[in-house]
Amino acid sequence: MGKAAPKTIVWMGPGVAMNPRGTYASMAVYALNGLLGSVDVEGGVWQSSSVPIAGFPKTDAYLDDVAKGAGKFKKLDGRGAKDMPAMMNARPGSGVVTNNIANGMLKDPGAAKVVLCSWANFNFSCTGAQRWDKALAAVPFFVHMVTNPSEMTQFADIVLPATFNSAEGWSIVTNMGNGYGYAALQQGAVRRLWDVKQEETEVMWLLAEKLKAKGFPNLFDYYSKEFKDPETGKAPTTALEFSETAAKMTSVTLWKPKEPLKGDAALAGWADFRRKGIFSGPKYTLKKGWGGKFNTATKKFEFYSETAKKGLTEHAKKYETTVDDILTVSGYVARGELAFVPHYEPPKRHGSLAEYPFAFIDYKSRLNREGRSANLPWYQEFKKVDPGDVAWDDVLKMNPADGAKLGLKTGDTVSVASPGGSMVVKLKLWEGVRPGTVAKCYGQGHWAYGATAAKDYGKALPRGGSNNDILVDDYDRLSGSTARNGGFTGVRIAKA
Amino acid sequence: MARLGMVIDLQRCVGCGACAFACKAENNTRDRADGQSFNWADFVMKTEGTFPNTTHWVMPVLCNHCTDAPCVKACPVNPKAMYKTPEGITMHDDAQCIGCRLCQYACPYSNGSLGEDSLDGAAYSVISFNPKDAPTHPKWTANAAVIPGGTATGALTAQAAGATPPAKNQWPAGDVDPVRKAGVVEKCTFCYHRTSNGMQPACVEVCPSKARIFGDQDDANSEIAKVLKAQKSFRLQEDKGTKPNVHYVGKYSARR
Ligand code: SF4
Repeated sequence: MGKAAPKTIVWMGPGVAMNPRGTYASMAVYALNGLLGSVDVEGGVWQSSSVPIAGFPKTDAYLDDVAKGAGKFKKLDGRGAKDMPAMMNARPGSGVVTNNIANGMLKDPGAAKVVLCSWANFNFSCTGAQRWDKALAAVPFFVHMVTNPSEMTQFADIVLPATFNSAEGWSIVTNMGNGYGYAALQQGAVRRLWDVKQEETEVMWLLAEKLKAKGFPNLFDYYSKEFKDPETGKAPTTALEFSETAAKMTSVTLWKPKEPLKGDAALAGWADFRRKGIFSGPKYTLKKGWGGKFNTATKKFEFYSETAKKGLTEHAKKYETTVDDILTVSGYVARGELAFVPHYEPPKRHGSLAEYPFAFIDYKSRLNREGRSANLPWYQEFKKVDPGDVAWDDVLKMNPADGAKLGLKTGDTVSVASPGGSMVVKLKLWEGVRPGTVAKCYGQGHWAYGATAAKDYGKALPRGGSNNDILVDDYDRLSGSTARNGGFTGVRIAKA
Repeated sequence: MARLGMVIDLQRCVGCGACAFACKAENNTRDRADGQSFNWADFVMKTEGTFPNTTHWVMPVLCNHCTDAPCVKACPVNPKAMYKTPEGITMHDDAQCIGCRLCQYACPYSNGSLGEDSLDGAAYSVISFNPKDAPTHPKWTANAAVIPGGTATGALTAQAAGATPPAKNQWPAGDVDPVRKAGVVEKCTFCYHRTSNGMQPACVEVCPSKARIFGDQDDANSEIAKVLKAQKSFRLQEDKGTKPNVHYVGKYSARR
């Protein structure tokens, strides 16, 4: 690596960071890139890039006392709790810990009286998925806004069909790739086949109308008075107009900028943005952070993280304790100065080696972006492009040497048990996995995700098994990231 | 006259599957059933060696558009339903096809009926057969809803979209129709509707690694001719004497 430096990348993938003590492993990756001189140089690792997007108008004038007070309630996800520093950009309590919401709901069953949820399918997608079944079953009123019914939908009192947003809705999507920050426009490109609504704008507008009719006009007033078409100055009068207006307002900085923008040729206006569908900023500037311009407490590249120190000290102060105490309750072994430098933390493992001899490796299918593909026949048909996998199936891969020891062969139906739960799947002996580990792609095992994803939707029979029934819900508490990787859950395999 | 062919650079291929997805979208091929894959583009896959010295390799496969095509020879009708175009494409005429499947049995790269081994990349078939007197896109004529009264049926979706399949890629039908009829075989056409209009086959266009090169093997200036000249290439089942026009160069795994 040193020989190839600085054109060497130590990649900070989720495998490094998303495990119970992942913060320090990711700090090690960061430091390694620093040692190699590969930060912000050609052939190395780069920071993010973006294009300017406008915010929404201020809501302050429309908040009544109830809203003002409720906005300050503690979040159910436990962010910022003593044992959950969740420090996004080293700000304690700023990270979202979605999977911990279920724990919050179970601890305080009355806390969530009404739940409005868009697109998510936590009962399948979150580790320790069974907790979500229990938590949602206890919610008095649950509305699920989805493109297709899913496991989570089974708990809904009302299901609202949502737009397939990349073709039916309006919104601005920002991201970066290949050294360019960009904003793309999702627009109503096709005629909607069904009565669907964009849940973040259209449904909210319709809700606001109803609330107004019931004597609570604030939300409707905010939408109808503060939102104006940047071209015509016209206020929206329907849900769909509101949706398009919101997209226009957030992207006006691109198609009608105050100062000319760097990057793509200037857009001639909204119509031009609609035609082109995307605006990319200028090519990434190398050494952007060099010379005291890093986004850290010292403005320098930090091997010793003054930034982490600042965050941890602030968090400890809030609980009138020491940083060591915070690390202890959050499950790290570091004490003293080690807290602020990358160092070795022994990997945490749920389940003893004696009782659960195999490390369970969950990984992402190359056919999933986020994971909503299992109901597509083509996903099933070409599942084999995930090395070792089998089309229209969901196999647990085990090294043949381990298979021989256990007397198991390819095609056997096996039960996989962890301290968190169990599942039944088909086994495949495969030389692509390390002895002592078993591996299975995330994504299959749906029992209610449509005719293709489930083996039998009506009977709730899954196609394969859901890894999240096995994986224990745990966190890298300093970042608030959910643990998925690093073989942190031990499993026992037996013929079913 | 051009002599069309394809080179697949296995070293560039990352086995992502994009080519096969693009093919299904482009050519409106249906879902697998009854031993027929309907995958005009597919893959052969293999894992070899013992951990940690394991090698995994992937080889994209498609109709080889053979110069001496056994399927054409086997086709019993006159004029032939399976025939060669002047540019060397092995083409199929649905109107002439009687559904005898002799082509499928004659083709060394096809199987009359695929078994379980086609699900993990051990077997494939470049020719598939649409059963007689049955819908060619059953998913989109089905009347059962997953949640009765709650979700749309396949038939309703097709009706609302005004097409079967609903995401149908509707090109102006000429030599090739966008969707097949019952009782005929189907296979890769080298995207005839595209390539005869100056475009690249869908699988070539979509490949993120530029692993697929399509063109005129007789044009010394074409990329395909240059690659074939510069690199060692091979074709599938050369011993059968079919003279495939799909060539492979490179090696999938970086491992020795
Ligand atoms: S699209 Fe290209 S890289 Fe991907 S599998 Fe096909 S040939 Fe290989």
